[in-house]
Amino acid sequence: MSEPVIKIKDLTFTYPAGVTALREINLEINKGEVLAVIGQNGSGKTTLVKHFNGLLKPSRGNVLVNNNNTKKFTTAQLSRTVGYVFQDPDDQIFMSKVYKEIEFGPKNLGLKGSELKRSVKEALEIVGLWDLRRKHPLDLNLNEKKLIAISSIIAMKPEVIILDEPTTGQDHHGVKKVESLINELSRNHTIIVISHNMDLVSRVASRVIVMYDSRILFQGTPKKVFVKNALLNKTYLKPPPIARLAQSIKGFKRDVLTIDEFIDELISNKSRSSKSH
Amino acid sequence: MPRALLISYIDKDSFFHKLNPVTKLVITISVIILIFITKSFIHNLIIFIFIIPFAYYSKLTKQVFMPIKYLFIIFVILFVIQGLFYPFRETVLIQLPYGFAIWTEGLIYASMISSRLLVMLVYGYLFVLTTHPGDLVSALRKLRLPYIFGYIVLATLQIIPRVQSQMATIIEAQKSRGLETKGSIVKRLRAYTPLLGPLFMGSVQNAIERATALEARAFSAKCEKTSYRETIIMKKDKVIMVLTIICLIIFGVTSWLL
Repeated sequence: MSEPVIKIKDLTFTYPAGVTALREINLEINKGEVLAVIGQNGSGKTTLVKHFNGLLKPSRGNVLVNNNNTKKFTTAQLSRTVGYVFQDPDDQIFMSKVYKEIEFGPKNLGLKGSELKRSVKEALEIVGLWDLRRKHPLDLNLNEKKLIAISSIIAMKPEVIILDEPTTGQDHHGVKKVESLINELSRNHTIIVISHNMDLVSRVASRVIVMYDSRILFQGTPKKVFVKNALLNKTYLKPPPIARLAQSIKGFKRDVLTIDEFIDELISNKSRSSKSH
Repeated sequence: MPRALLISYIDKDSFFHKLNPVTKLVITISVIILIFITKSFIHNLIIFIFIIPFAYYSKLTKQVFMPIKYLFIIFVILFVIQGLFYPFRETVLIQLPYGFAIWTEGLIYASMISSRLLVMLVYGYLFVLTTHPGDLVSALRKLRLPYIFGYIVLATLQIIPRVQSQMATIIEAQKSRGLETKGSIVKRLRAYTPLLGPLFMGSVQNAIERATALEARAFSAKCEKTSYRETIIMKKDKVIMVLTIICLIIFGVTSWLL
């Protein structure tokens, strides 16, 4: 087991208006894992991840990032370790050139000269938008703007990258792009992704946590989580379509999550049933 | 969004809440006229203290004073600028080096302006807190004001909380990119520039979308509009309006003669 990057101990959080959004959360996030956080709107997903980079501080309990208590650091200081990509790219884009937008974060961290240039170039190349560097960010389409937002965080080289609903409003191509980007980034980063796209979650996540009513209802690998239909129903979540199809067929394994697995299962199921005849 | 000043209606069961919006508007405007008649800031402070029973009877004693802290910086600037550079200065209060001085007339002028701001803020805020925007629009329409006028008032009241929550999200997004928002005033001012772009663009975009959405629901249709919320001017409203105007005349004249 590798070292945890983020440790959450008995975290309870109440908003100033009096709404308790998190209750007694205990969680460890390990280096290199792709953690998906799923659950209904208002179940506390965003409130939880906002604690990881100090945007919110616990009302009770502690959040430790590399053994540093977030209560003692500002978000700007924690942004070296934990990068947070917001849901709506329009909330953060303010520069008139794409590369200037990407530079903003690294500059805040004190990067200069060739080092700055290199990190901007790398970040734009990972998302495949190096060619658009001289464009005005607001001239780009939503897919590209989202990638700019992600790239602007990558340029800061954080250990952990949080993606808050990276596929909202994206077309099929955009979702595929985000998926391959997560796979690529997970080689060097710990990824935390909030998503309502179960298909994406089932393919990229190494662990899924299901939030319900300000608590973690249960967690496990996608294969373990997406077969617990009774619990999922309680949270109004459903396994990805292909998994539901597999679960509805008699004699199929219940933990089929991808189309490839489905085809394999189809073949082996056929040979099993022909043997029994 | 912690500690933000939210301009919005708070639903409470109180005498003041149940008054017709027009009555409350008459009271608020009367108070504002009164503070421009008065000649001394002490009178304004007395008027300011009168907010306490009003707020108490609206069950909003604490909330109504909340926005005052946002005026503090304006007060400081007023006192410094007027104290040093008031054009009709005559009496030196404190002599400062390099030929500067703090002038009595300037300070009096600053306290006059500040006390007026203070009164307008709390009475205006109490009006907003106790009046449902829908009621206000309906009441204004009953006064035969054009519908669009009511909408402008409504939109203004709604836009502030919306811009504030958008601002909060943008600040969080930029903090996550290493923007430090703590430190000296200069540092903080500089830190807030990256927020203006997204905020401005977002607001313009919102306004356009809102206009489309309104039109899609026949906003500018040329016919008699009905309202979900109905307001009636009752007997108590009439009595209070008359009393308010009598009070305004009495207080106004006394304050002018004193």
